[in-house]
Amino acid sequence: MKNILLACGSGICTSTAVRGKIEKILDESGYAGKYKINQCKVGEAAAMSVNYDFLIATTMAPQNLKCPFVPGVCFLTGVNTQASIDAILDLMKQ
Amino acid sequence: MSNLLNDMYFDESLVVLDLEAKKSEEALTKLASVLQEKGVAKDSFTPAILKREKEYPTGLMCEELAVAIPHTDAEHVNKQAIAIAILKEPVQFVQMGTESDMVDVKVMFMLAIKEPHKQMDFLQALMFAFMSKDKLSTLAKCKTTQEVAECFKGFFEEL
Repeated sequence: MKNILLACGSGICTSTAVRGKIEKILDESGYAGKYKINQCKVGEAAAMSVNYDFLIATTMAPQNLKCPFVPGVCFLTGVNTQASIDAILDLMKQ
Repeated sequence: MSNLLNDMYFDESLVVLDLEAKKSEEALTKLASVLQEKGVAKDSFTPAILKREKEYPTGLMCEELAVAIPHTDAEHVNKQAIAIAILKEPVQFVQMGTESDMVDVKVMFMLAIKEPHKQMDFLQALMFAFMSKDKLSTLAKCKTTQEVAECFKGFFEEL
């Protein structure tokens, strides 16, 4: 089971918008039921990150992060998504 | 599925055409004031939008053109709504997820959202429109506020 943290400025708007897309990618790659996603404000992400396998955020990577970071803005625009998809699938394998 | 817009107040009175602004702050203030005048947003909405944009910029370079999706916390919102501005000349916004990458924004979608989890389908449909081939450029070319409103509603119909 992978614990994924999903963050944006408020923890509710753009993170909500990209959540479905990320779940679809994971499910279609055979990870259905093998991950949990929690949403938070990016301001809280660093402190929470010790308990998570990686963070996807629509903001810049927060300082003092204790887990890998994957940029999430591409899931809002559809531009250059492959690098983030590859990074996520790579982290799921670890 | 035009019902995705059912929980959102939106009509042509929340559309601004040819919005003129030199800077993003000016563009944001003008569109936020439309939501405040309608009573949709509280007086605290505009300063909250400006602060939020500085901290977490919302410019998005999409396939066809750049948009911005300014928004802020639910406490500044009376009623869920979306306001749209087509900018007369593109205005520079910072790209979301970056410190200082600038994008030339042509369309602003200002979100006044109270219950984002209930709006997941709406938000996803909006992002889907950003990714699709010519939805944004069609919207940006509309000549009247009614056309913009109809075009925007069309984003949610064929899903």
